[in-house]
Amino acid sequence: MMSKLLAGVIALVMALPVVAQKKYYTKNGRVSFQAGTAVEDIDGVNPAAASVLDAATGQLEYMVLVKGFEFKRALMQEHFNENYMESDKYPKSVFKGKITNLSSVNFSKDGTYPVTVKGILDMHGVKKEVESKGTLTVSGETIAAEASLEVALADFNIAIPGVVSDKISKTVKINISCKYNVLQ
Amino acid sequence: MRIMKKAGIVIVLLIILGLGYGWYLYNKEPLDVRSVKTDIEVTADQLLLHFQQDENAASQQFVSKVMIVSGAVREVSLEDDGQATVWLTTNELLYPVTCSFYKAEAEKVKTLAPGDQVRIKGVCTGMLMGVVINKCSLEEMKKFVPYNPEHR
Repeated sequence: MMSKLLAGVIALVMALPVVAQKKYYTKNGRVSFQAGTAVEDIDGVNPAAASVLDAATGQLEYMVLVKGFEFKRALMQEHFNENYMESDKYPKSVFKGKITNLSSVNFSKDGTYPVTVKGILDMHGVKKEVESKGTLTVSGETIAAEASLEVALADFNIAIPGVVSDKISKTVKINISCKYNVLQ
Repeated sequence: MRIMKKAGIVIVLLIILGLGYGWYLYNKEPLDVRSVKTDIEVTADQLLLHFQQDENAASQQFVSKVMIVSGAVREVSLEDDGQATVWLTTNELLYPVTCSFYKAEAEKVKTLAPGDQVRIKGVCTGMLMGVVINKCSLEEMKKFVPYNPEHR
């Protein structure tokens, strides 16, 4: 009897890792944005965003260091950090959200799944709800994620001076691209 | 009349110079970190410790500064678009130092393997899941040679 019970428990424990949904992470996610207009192209790229994705709950966290955005021109980088994002005061931007259609993603079957993510973007000292559409591509133990969203600068208290208002777009397109690995 | 003419020429020249300087400033490329000399050098371990003990103080000391960080390679990642990232081992498994390289440096990064001792130059941007260094280039590399008693 005891040995049967023990065997049952062992079998259950061994089966657990298969049943348990995994957590995924990346430390070199790529976040880029386009804030230019027809007059001028302004884009910044951050190659070292960190993110954690919980496959069981669909929870998703994304963090970037504002000073990590790289630009084509030195002056853009300076204005971005000092005038618009005030990166000394607000060094990090964080998104915390959830995949709203988690049931349509099969993390154990290779394939590309369209997802919608909803959550709070904490940027420039302002927290606001945002929604993003994208895809998760499962291939074995890794997941590639692509997503984009548009945010209005005014929503995050980022003011554009009149002199440059024809050069900087009032809404910014943010693109996210990363490869998640299993968190061991 | 002559003075007026001379003054006119000077003013035009000044305007041209001003516009030229403005154009230069506008188009100036960001600093190439590879050509910057630096006296700041820390090990990956020390760097993490600074940030864990007092993130604000460490940010004051390191963020936006060109520095050299040394340590052992834990992992290397090379993306299709040329983006190369190297993680340096620290005392904490979950918090390695993330070094994001200039795309032109990818060829050198390809030669790295876990265990190699390296000195990497870059700009510290702060701490997320570990400290992050951007615009990196490889300063020095020593290959890791596994101990093999048969070769004694």
